[in-house]
Amino acid sequence: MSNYIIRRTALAIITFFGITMLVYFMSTLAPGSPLDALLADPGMTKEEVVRRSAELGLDKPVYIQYFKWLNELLHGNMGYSYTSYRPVVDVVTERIAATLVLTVSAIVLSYIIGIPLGIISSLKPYSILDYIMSTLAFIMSGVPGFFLGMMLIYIFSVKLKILPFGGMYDASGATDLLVLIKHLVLPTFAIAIPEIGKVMRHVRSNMLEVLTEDYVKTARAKGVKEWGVIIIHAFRNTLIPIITIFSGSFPFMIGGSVVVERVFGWPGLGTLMINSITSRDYPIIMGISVIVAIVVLATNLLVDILYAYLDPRITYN
Amino acid sequence: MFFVIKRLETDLINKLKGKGWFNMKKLKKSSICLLLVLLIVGSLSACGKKEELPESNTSTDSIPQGNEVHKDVITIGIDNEPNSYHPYNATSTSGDKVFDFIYDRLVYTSFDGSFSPRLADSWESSDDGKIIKFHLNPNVKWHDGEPFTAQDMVFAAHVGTAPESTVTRRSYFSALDGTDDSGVCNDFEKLGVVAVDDHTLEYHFKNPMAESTFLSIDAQRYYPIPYHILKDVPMSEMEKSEYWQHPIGTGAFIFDNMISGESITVLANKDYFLGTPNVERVVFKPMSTANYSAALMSGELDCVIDDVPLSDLSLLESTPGIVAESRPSMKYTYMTINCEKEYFKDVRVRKAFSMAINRSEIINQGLYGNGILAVSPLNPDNPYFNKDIAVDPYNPNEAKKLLEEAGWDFDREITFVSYNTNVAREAATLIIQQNLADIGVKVKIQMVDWPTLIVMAREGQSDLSILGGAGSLDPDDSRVLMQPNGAQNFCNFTDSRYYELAQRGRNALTTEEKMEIYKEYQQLLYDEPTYIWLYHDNAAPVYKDTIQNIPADDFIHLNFKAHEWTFTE
Repeated sequence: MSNYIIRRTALAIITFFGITMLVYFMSTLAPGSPLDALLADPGMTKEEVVRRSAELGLDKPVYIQYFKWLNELLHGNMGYSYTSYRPVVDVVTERIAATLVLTVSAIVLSYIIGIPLGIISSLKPYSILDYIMSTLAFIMSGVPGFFLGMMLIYIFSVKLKILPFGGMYDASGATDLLVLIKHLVLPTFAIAIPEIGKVMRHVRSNMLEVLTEDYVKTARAKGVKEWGVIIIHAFRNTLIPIITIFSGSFPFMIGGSVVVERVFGWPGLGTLMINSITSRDYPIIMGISVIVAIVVLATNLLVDILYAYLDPRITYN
Repeated sequence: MFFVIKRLETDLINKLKGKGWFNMKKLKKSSICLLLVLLIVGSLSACGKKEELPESNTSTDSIPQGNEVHKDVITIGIDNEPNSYHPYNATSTSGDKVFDFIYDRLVYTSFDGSFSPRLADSWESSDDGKIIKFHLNPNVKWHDGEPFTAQDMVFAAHVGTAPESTVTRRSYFSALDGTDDSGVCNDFEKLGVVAVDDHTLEYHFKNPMAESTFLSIDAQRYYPIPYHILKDVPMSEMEKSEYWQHPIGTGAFIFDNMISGESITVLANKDYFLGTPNVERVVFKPMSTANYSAALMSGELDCVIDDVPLSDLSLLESTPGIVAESRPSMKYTYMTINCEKEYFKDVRVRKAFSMAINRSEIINQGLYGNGILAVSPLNPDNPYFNKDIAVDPYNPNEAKKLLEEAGWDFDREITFVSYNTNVAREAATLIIQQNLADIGVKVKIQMVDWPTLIVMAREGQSDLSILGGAGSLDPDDSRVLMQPNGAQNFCNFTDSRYYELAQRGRNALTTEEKMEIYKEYQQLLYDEPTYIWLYHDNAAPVYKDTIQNIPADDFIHLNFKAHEWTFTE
């Protein structure tokens, strides 16, 4: 077990450095530079651009810039933002909680709703109910998050005026849990609805497969109650594929939240990332990438370990 | 976007009505049933919280009764939070909108071009136009109670010009004695800003400058910085100072807190020298401009001091409780032509492009009618506008003839770089592509993000691109676009006649002299175009009708006078 964890951790570390290198090169090689922010200064001269470029080290080759950044990172320094001049670690950490709250809420919601609906759909396959639910799942998984977000805002905020949508808190200054939950509802559903559709489809197909297995028939023959057959014997054996979807969907949902955060003005990493890319604020882009990479790699590692725990047939070797 | 959703809803309702299927009550009921889960969660979370809602969340349908009240809180939408609260480090005017509530500037400009005193009570210029003297208001105090003095403005100039600092607004100081062309000063002893005494301040210029030019352009970005707090901070550390996380100013509102990406809260300055504001707290909410309309209609915002998307304007105009009006502005949008390219060197080609563009269609389709045709960077209402020139009439036949005369290769494909975060400019790009195709010019559109567009235009990697400027009543605003080898010369032309005229205009002291020079400047821009001026888009600030005495016309000068706003229930 410990060997397996060490091996997987080592692989995660290599992947982490690969990610940082890829993101650094992709962002710095894109046209535009942080110096374009200087265009806010209408009379900026080309001499000033050259001076600032040298000051920020942007006149050096990209690989030197990367290793300089990496060296600082390994010494615990993520640098300063090129636009706000604040420490990157401060800027990123004050935003990550908002993204995690939103993403985790969406994941929990999508599984709480998606799993039972998927099970119900699988119990009477090819019935009208199954067709309706499968069609719904198909539509839900295909709706773009931004469109869904706009529709939710229009219905619940503009027309019915029952739910807010701008940010995490309202102008009253109150930052209690109820205010947060009220603001969380719409963006959570905007991320969760497409995911619910995916979970429903996966659970349904896996349940259909498992329900034909011999051990399910045996359980029924032994007189186990139907709910026991479904939950204890059948559903338990669909958990592995569900966890596989989860490990794949977590990074996807963090990515998807970028758009939804923008639509709902949610103060998470998504809006910060968009602004940083627009202003070519490389230290912030790298700071966000580092944090998200760590969260995603750690999640994947946990999921891998969880596989073996749930299914003893999977060995660490 | 909401304009589109609203139209879809209206179309659907009309169709259902036509078929006799429509019943508002039933429709609402079914919608609510279908989305039951959302409603339950929403209702639960709303339980017991109604009394805690801020006043800003009251119905937008309320009609002002004419009874003024002291407001607890108002929310203002802005498109982006300031990148920094260091006023010389702002990278966009979003910062200035918040700064105007916290800081004051020497003098403020109104829509009609008049100047009103603020930190300065009065001012006068020397006869040779090389010195301007301000007499500062002795009653102004910093938010910590310390008196504001001329030394604070001198210190601000030091911060803005110090070679060790990395400010983004250095060039606003480049007119001062002792600075180089970039605005860098290597010896503060020689810097042209002098505190004669605590309440008398002088700016000394390298070249003569009209008072109005200095006041309406350079001085509009001169914010005071508290010398008594920051005097010991090394200039090289100024931007990174913790002070900017909680700055103080002299303005009508005191910075309270900032939740990154969420809100910026400022509190009324009860000791403000122009009177206590009528609202206790102002909360700025950064959000996508596409969400402004929804936020106003849902009651989450009280005011948008930016412009709402022009496509949403008619929807907001018809919304009870909201004041939405398209107002003339000085903004201008232009198409750049890369004059470095051999095939654009012939002025007939550039003129042909100008004649081929159907500007009226751009205004109708892209701006929904909320704009006017542009013939120069100056709006026709500008006192310096040259009335002898008119927009090139849309004439594709004449344009094609000119191109043929100039020997244009009709097999050539040119690149038009544009970006898609500005709906009007995106529409203009498509219309121009079609207009040029009509005269046989093949245009390939490349949509990129804004920084990429800037680099491609500046480095001559594109043939055409679309950009815009905020404009000013003083024609000096467009000078930077004309500077050969200048960083903002997006047409990359080397002809110095345009810049020389603009520079002469900047240095002219009398209105008559300036009029004459800028007339010639605009004539040259018209006869031998480098930039193709497209349109002046209107400003569209929107606010609830419970806010009064709001100088919406002056917003284009970042002049919000929030201490004078009054409120009704």
